[in-house]
Amino acid sequence: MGYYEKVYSRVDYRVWLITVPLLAQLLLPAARNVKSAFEQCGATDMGANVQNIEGRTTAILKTRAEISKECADKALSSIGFTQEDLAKVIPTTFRPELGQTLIAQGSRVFIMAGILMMIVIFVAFRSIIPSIAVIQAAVFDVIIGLGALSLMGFEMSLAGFAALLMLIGYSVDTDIVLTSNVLKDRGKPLAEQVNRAFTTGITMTCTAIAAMTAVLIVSTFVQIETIHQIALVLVAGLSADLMTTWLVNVAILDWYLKRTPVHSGKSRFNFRIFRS
Amino acid sequence: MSLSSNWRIVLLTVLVVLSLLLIATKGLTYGIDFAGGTEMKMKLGEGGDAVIDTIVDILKNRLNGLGLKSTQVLKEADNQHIVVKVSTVVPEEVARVKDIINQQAIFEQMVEGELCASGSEIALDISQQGGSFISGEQWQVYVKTNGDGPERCGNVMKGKAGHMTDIFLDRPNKAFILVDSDTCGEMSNADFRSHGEDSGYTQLSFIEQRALVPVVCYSASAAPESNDTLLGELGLQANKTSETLSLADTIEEMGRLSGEGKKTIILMVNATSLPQELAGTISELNLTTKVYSREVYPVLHENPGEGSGDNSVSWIDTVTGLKSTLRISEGLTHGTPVYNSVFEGSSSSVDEAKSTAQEFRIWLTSGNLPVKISIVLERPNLPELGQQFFKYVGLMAVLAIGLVAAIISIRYRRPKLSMFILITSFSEIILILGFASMMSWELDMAAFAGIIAAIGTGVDHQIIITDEALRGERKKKEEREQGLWGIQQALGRAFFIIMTSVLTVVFAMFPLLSITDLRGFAFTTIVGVLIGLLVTRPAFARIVELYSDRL
Repeated sequence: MGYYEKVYSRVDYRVWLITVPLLAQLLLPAARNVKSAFEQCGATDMGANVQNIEGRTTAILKTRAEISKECADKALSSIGFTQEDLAKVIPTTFRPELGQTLIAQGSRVFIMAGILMMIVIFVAFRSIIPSIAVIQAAVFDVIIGLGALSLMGFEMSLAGFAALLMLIGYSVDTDIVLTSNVLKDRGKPLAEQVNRAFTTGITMTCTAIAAMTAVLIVSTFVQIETIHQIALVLVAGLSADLMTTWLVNVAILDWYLKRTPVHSGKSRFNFRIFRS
Repeated sequence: MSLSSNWRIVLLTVLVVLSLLLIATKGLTYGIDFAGGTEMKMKLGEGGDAVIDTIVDILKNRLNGLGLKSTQVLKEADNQHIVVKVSTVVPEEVARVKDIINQQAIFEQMVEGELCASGSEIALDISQQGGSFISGEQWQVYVKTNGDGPERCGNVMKGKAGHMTDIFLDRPNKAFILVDSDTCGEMSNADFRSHGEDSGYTQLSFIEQRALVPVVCYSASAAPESNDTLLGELGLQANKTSETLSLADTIEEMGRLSGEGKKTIILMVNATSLPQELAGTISELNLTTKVYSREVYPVLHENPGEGSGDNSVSWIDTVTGLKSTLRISEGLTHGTPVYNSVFEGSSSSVDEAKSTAQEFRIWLTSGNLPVKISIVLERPNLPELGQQFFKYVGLMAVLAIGLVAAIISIRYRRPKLSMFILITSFSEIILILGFASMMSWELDMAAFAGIIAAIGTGVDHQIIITDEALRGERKKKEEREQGLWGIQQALGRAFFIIMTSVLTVVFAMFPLLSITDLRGFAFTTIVGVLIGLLVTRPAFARIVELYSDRL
């Protein structure tokens, strides 16, 4: 559970995100100047990166210390900011209460979503163990996605939550392909069924990983944090899905099939609209 | 290719064309992530969940007066947080928004322009019937007054049996109204209430004498004679206190009112549409402007039925904060202090009586209950950032689609089939955007993430359909001989997988709808996968079925 603690504990701070337009010619040294200027205001844990916004070089600084507007203005004018420049400084504050609410709401939503998904999958397959196998894959993918966030030092944000839920959707897809292939044609050798499902599943996962890698690379260069976070969670989680589906889930199904007798499985969701 | 067997493809084509038309004509609405603006999230103090709806209403009302392009006040599902989104990043305007948020609502009971009780002097009396009582269509609300309230109420109601008492929430006591002479004429010529119970007041005299908000009527035309003719036409009904003033007199009057501490000016049009001299005076006197336009509040004042008048969103009610008018009963008019009184009336239905009583309870508690609001998040989004962002999203989309196309081409080695998969996904994006345009729902960053999620799922499902169909095709030869035709069963199984997957995603997203920030994401994803399930997937399956031996 170390991942959770690490990821979550970061939200418990007040975070100041300060977007400062820099004097164009100075670039990175200027960002360092801004950073050291803010340190006079008590911001010792400040992180800074530089980004180009519409031709204006902009520093985005992050700190957990509280900085008053007066001190910020003073610090910035001491390194040559004019009144006009100061007007373009944008402070964003996240207070701890928000982080706590987010965690409380997020965990509740996750548990509810998990239960609802379990019900749908159980209704579809009508057997407990294959359903649990599907859910385990989703749960481990999410944990690995969280781990990736933690490893890269990201704060858990709403974008992160969204990404984890997208991940669940993709993860469940491959597992359903596997499970339905294996359970529908029982009697044929397992290896044949798994191979068939694997061809489909690997194409699905690879297209998703490829698309998200493209997004990840672009967002690394242009520093769009929300999108970057979503892509990171999905690339890590989908890679993990290759293992949780084709190693773990297959093993569970193999064990399950060996200990239960064959019975006929009929499709539950067969609607006319899909047939001619 | 008969129409009846290909209706899925026809439906998809028709919907794509419709969506394109919608996007082209109606356009898309972008949230503050892209269009620029400030988002604030606030937490209510203890007991806030009981009055959150009132607070949302009050904030909406107050913020509408700021004249910003768009303002949104949203309630979080936990009833503890409110999110405000305004379309500005200008520090002064944001500061004004914050001032407005931090104000508390003030409840006032007035009798013909004289204060009876306000704020903490008046409260719901829960010792009687728990505060309110409904009997059929009759409602009663019990109130108690304290402090200076009882004596003042006794004095102002003395000898006024049958007169009216007005209930205000947030009456603009430091403001005056500036309107053109035409509107003034209209207001001075119309009765405030048409029924006999509350006669003797025109709309204009109500605003000036009962709500105590001065009205300045200006005439933009240079010739004063025309004003006389106008007043003549109106039957010289104009109120003495608000004669139509020439521009010079208007400026003088504005200066006098501003000197009296009335630093807020209420307008019907944007300050920029006023005569230049007046707009100049407003900025010279440093007045705060509030704009309540006739487009938003087309009705000056309705004449609602007896006992109600609470739900109307007329201009006068909104501007003065008038919530209700009640007749004073004889028992209160002897000049003795009034400690307890009953607000009562009858509504047209039992439900309406209940909601009226409930509204009174909320008004009586909202101003007086010390619900502290603290702003826990303030996030400005620069419009430039949004435009920049669009460029990068485009770049990402092109790269991602290219890679997906490459993988599919390598896997199937059938160019036609790969093209069908990509075209179907494109049409799905168009359908989602068309739907968004139709519902004029706001596209923010979260909504775009939702579209990505839906499209990703869409590509996955098309791969499933293709694989199952190709398998059926391969089986065809041997199994057709045995009377087992493959493709129908194959597609049936594909749709079992898709159905399960879509239902899982929909149910996983469902609880997310309760978090305001993720509602856009969840909603877009749900709509996206449902459009996929009902429109694009069946069409794609039909295409595969038709071309399975030719692809």
